[in-house]
Amino acid sequence: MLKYILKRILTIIPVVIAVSFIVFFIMDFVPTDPAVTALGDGATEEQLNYYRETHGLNDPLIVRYARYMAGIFRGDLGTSYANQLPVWDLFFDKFPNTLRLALASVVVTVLLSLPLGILAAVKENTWVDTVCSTLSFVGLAMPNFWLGLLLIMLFAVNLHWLPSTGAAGFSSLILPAITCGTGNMAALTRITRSSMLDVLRQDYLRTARSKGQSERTIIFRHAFRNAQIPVVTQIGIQMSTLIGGAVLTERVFAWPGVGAFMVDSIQKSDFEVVTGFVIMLAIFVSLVLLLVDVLYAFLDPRIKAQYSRN
Amino acid sequence: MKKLLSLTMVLALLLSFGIPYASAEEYKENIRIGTLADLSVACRYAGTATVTTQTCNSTFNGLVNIAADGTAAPELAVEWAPNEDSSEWTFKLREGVKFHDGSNFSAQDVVFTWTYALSTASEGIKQAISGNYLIDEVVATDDYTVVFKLKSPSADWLNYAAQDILCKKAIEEKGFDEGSKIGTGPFYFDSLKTGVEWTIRRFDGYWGEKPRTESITFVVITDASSRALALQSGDIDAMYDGNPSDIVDFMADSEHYNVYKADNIQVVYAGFNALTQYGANKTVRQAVAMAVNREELVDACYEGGECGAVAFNFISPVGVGYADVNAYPYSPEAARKLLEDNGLAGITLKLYTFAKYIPVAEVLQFQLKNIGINLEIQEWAQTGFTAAIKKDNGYDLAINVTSQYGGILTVMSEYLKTGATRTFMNYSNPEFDAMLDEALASPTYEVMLERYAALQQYVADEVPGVAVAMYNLFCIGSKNFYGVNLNAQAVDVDFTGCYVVK
Repeated sequence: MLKYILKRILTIIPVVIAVSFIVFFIMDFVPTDPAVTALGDGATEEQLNYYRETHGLNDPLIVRYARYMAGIFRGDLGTSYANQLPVWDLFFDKFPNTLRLALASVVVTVLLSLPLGILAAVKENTWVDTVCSTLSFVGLAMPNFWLGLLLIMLFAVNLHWLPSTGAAGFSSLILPAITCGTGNMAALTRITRSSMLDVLRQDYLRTARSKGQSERTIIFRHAFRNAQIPVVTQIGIQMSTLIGGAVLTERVFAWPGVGAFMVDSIQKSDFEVVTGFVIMLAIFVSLVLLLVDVLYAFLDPRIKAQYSRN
Repeated sequence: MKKLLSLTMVLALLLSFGIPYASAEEYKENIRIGTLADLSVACRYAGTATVTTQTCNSTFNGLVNIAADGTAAPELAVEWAPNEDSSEWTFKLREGVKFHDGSNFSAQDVVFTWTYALSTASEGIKQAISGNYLIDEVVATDDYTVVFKLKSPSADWLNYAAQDILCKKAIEEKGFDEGSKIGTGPFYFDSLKTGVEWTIRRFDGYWGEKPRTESITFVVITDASSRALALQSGDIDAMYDGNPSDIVDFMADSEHYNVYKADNIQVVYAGFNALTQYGANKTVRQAVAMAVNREELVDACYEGGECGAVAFNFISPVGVGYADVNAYPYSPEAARKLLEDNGLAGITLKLYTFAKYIPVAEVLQFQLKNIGINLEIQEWAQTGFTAAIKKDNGYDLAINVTSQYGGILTVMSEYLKTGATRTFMNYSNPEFDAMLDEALASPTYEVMLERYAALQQYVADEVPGVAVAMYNLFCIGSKNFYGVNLNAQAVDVDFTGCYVVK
């Protein structure tokens, strides 16, 4: 099992190289000048040329890329052109906020979707099934920036129960988490429902019923345990997406996360920040997916045995 | 007994009229202001972002302060006088002034500022001090006297003297990044959480009247709707700018909000690229000028005129030296005929701008279609816009806003003079340059204003660009929020005097 984990960690390296090259290549085509971002519109052509020469901006793409990757392996993600701060520091200033929001959103999604999905499966083809499915799609259909603004109007402006913006304290996490979480409800509800349906039709559950086990025990102890794998996969995918930054939610709630900061950096043509952030996010997303794979082993002993054999 | 009681009551009644109701207003120690962007730098010479300017208005002083009516009031200088032809200006400085790090202000700091910030070649300087091209020498004749020796007369030198004075000691000891935040203003720069907020705190060693508020925290809420909601929920005490529709709603709710509004010194204009075939063609420029219906544009883009006003002049009416001009009147029929008579009907023009002015561009597109001009709009990033589009050089027109800081002829010098760097217009007109040089060399302020008025009319006739509108400056606060200064001469909002009554 440990060997499997180590092997997976090593596969992150080619992922990082591939992602970094793609980002570097794309940013090279953006028609703005990092020297202007660094020196401002007031800089003369001589000053801009000097900056480009001294910072290697005139070098061929592959040379610049190699130099950048050498820095990555030394732990140096570069320096922001816009505010002259190390990209590493900026990332770890923002990323904990993004992680908090992502975890809270996943909790909201799970708390809403699992009951709906299980209920829909158990009451398949009844009005309960229809209502559960419809509720889950309500979350998908609502644009989350609109939902966010509505939640602020209700809970912050009218009721004064919760803060409207910012990331200070647990109370400021609630509205952004609900905004992000409801948007992901539909997919997880559907996966839970279909996964449960596959399991509920199995013969061993009929045997359990005939042995006199309660319906609650059958659903939660037997059926759901065996239906967890696709559910956990979906949760992992959603977590990875949220780690990339819920840009619209971060904007609406002025949540100081990675997503909104990256958008600002793109607008400012701050390439060092964009490239560095994308690489770090690729690493963390890979780690999340590894965590999901490891979780499988704990949920299903057959998978654990397979990992050990491989 | 009864008599005594009555006497006492009468006495008490009389006293209650006599004694003034003793109630001191109490102010909130910290006020929170929602702002639209993050702070990258806290020095005006390191960046020209709106939020930088707003912060520096409170943390720095100039030698003088220019009021809304254009008059100069003492600040770090207490007296000043030009020589006969205004080619030399002598300033007597205020004694006993401290910088935020406790060091003493002296003439050396003025000399240092006007040497270090003179050019973007100095480390950290991205926007050189305005008026740098006029400087021959800056000399400290003693600790509290500075003489500016100029290459040519400058009757409006006081406007340049209003720029921030840096702390020599702080920059030399701590480097530009840290040292450039140190000023002599009523607030000092306290803390910054990137992307979240920054705080300025009252400087107890300030030489002038202390602000009523102990600290001001600028909260970064980039989304305008969220900013409005944060104000409504009470999470912030005031907000800078917002969606025009939200602003109109706040204006209608005067029971709960104070809306501070002022004309802007910045003018939105569509400038022609003089390097292109059509940009260099005066007939095309005249036709475009006659096709623009400014009232319609302001109605469409600025909430029916509630949030903006028409502009016919590159210079804003609140700019010092503004003169009314006779601009080309709105006449689409005449514009169409002019183009047809010159074989220019049906031409296509490319317009570049950034997101903020896309609505203006779209209205222009519609209006130019009426005279047979096809306008193709391309959106660019706002950061580095001017440099980027100049490098591309594929535009006939671009929309941006003028920015006036420093001398009264700044817009003319930095936007329209041959070789001007602050704009994309590439305008080059020897006659205009000669008129401008003559205005700059004016022996007196009054003569300068006369020549400046003539320049403004000349620009209106030549149409290197079409001034279209001004977006008003706004600050919206809770009902107990007071003291904001929308003096456009300070360029944007000055929060120094803000307070919230508890």
